[in-house]
Amino acid sequence: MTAVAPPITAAPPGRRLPRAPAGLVAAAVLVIGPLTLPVIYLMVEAVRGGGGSTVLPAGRLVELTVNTLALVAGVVVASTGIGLGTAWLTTRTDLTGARVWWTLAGLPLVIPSFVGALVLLGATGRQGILSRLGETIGLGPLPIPRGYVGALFALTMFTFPYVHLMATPALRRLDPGLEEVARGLGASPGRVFRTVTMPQIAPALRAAMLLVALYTLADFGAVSLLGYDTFTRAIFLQYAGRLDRTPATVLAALLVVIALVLIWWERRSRGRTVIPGGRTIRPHHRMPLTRRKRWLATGFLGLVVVASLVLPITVLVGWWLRGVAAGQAPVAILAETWRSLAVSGATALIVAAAALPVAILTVRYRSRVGAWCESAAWSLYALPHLTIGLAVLLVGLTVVTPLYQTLSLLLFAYLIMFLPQALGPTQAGLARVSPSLEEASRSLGKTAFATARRITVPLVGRGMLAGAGLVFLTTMKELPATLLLRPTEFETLAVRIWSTTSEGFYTRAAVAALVLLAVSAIPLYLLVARNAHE
Amino acid sequence: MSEAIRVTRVTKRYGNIVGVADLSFAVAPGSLLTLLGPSGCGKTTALRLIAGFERLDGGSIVVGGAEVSGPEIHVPPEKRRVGMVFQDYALFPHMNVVANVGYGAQGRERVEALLDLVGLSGLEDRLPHELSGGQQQRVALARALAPQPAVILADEPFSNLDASLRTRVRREVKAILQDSNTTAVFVTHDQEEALSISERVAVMNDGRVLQVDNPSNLYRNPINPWVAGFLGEADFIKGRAAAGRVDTPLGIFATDLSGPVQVMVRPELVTLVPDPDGDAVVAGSEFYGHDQLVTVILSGGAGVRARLGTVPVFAPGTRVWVKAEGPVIYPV
Repeated sequence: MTAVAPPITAAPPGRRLPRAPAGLVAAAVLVIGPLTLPVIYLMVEAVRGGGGSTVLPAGRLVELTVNTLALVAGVVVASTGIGLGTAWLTTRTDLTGARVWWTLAGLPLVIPSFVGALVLLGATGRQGILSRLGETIGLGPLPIPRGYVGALFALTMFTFPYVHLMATPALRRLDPGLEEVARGLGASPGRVFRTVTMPQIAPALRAAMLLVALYTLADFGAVSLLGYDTFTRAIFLQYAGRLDRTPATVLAALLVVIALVLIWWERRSRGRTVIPGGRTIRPHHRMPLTRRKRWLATGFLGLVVVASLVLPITVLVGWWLRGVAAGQAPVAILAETWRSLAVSGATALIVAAAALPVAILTVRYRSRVGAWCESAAWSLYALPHLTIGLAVLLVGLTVVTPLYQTLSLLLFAYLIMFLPQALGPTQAGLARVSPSLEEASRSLGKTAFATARRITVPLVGRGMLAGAGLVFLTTMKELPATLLLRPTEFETLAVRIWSTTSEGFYTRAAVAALVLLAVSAIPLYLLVARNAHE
Repeated sequence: MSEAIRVTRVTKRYGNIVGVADLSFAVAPGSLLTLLGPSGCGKTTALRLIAGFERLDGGSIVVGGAEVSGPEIHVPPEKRRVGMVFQDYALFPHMNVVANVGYGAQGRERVEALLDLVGLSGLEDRLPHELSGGQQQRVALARALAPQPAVILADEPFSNLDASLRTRVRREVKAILQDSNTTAVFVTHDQEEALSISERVAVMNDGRVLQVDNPSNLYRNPINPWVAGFLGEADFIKGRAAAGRVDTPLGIFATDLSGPVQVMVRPELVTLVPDPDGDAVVAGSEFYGHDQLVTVILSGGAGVRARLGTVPVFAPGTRVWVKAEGPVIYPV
């Protein structure tokens, strides 16, 4: 007595990606392969150099390791506390002007940590602007915060925006229903945050913490200017002070190992948590703040914004005006500005072009080589710039000697350091373009090349442009690799800030820093402003 | 003239998974063939093989008299003269209607003639997102027709349309294809759609074609119980055939088979006659507005459904005589 319904077989697994054409695989390997060589060379040289013990006293190694890790831990804790606070206050409460505060808290990203250090040096001490302010209200001059405290402050102020920006989408994606259910089951707001909210934003938070940790580990400018003894500072001193390159090589290799351990640690702690996405979630109910809490929240945000944004800009403008008053030409750094713009623009173009074949290979085709290329690029991205600069320098000194002291070596190092910044947005753009658009073009009589030119590139263009913009911005701010690899006399804005600060010429450094901020603020503002609307 | 498309013993594997196996069918010029099957049956793979987006592992595909796919041959998609209408339409989002339709065609007149044909004159400057679903569908069709392809392929072309719009758009598309005398292969999982627009339907499952025929033959004589059930409502009554006939509670039917069989009947071909002496009893009914589906229990205990007009109302427990037309008998 049965009515037979058609048996429904399981839905097909998503359309299988086709096998990659050999030309594309070759292009991706030609891009990625050479990028990995310098670091491999560095590691081999370090091992051949006999390991750490023979070139550096063990006590010194322990000291550097402890100093570095203490700074990493301090900055991660402080940045996470501040960044999570600013993100939560501006997205989940009914704070007045939440959107403006949100944008302001993201902006300190444009300030490189070495500029932050310059501001600290310039604001304190007997000549400092803050000290003068202190004297007028009856306090003495502020001491220069050298060492751990200074480095912690400078790095925290300019890395917390990473946490702020990465925690925000996670907070917005939360399903408000889950928190309501928890409240309905009798949990206090604090318990809801601990047991429901935190576990859901933990993956984003961990990723942000990893980013901050890697940034701190790699920081060279701030710790050097503020005189805090870490690996990067030691590497640079070792390199600059000696003919024997082995100690610097060994230290750089150790730094690579620490970075890899941090990445491995974050990977392992990801566990099996999967936060479901893709559903449309109704907007969050914003928590109403009491009058007292509103003042506290505004005070906290105000303090953060003043310390990370207002203070640096005020101090830089103050020094600049002091320079102008002393008769310094206001455009003394025109040549440096032009060099910075040109080299950053060239880097952005090269990196965007290099990312394209890798992006197409990984998004459109099923390819083991593609997956390998992608993870190689991201691994290199995580390594400290000083290490990469040193590795490329080693190759330039020993393998490709004709390229030593040429711009091409510097551009090559930038390509190693920044490829994923263009790769990510290009991949995302490509993933948004349905492959059926390309197939439609093919079936309408256009070749694969014509299809790429008329359909793929115009549609992915925006993603590529965003990636190129990001590369441009970070190249402008790059210091350690530029210091090592630039041809003599090739002074960029970052190099200029470095050299004048270390010689104590704050007025000159301030002009360069202001120009650097102005130029790099434009793309960042566009990125942040666009996010604010989404 | 011979067939516009001939697919011969085509096989496509993805690793260990079979996409299509030993697939064969042909399409006459100017006619519409639909590949019908549940999701995952390989019908879309078949379409993509014809379009040249996938390479086959065995067999051959001939379009317009020229072999385009074979063990040693793979003509690239752009050289096949095969137009494709995608499920998501795949309109180029950065181009307006004219640029989309003109992408593969030469000359403004051709584009205008096509827009006229699909009834979109006046919308030339619109971008795809400024069009309704039905309009996007027609742009996709006009664009595929523009280079005067030997054949049009369409993957679930109506699935993204509202149910209220679907019937009308189907009729329009069919008319456009007929007016332009275009050969077409459509893919769908919707049997009503397949039966209503196609000259011929190929029913597929597990990568194979089970039966190809015109819609009415197909519906009346499904080759096996699975095809019968997939094409529409079907009830099966067990019986034993001997000496050229099978006795069932529904009546006696002639058959060449012998041994255990099952008799397939379609609910809309079952009629009920209320009679206190009837050998079947109404178990229940579902009311659909335009008709009702009445379930009756036959004398042997088996159940069968009848799709009937809304009068008379059959209350549960009513005794009836049951009569079925057009049964199909399968061996068990």
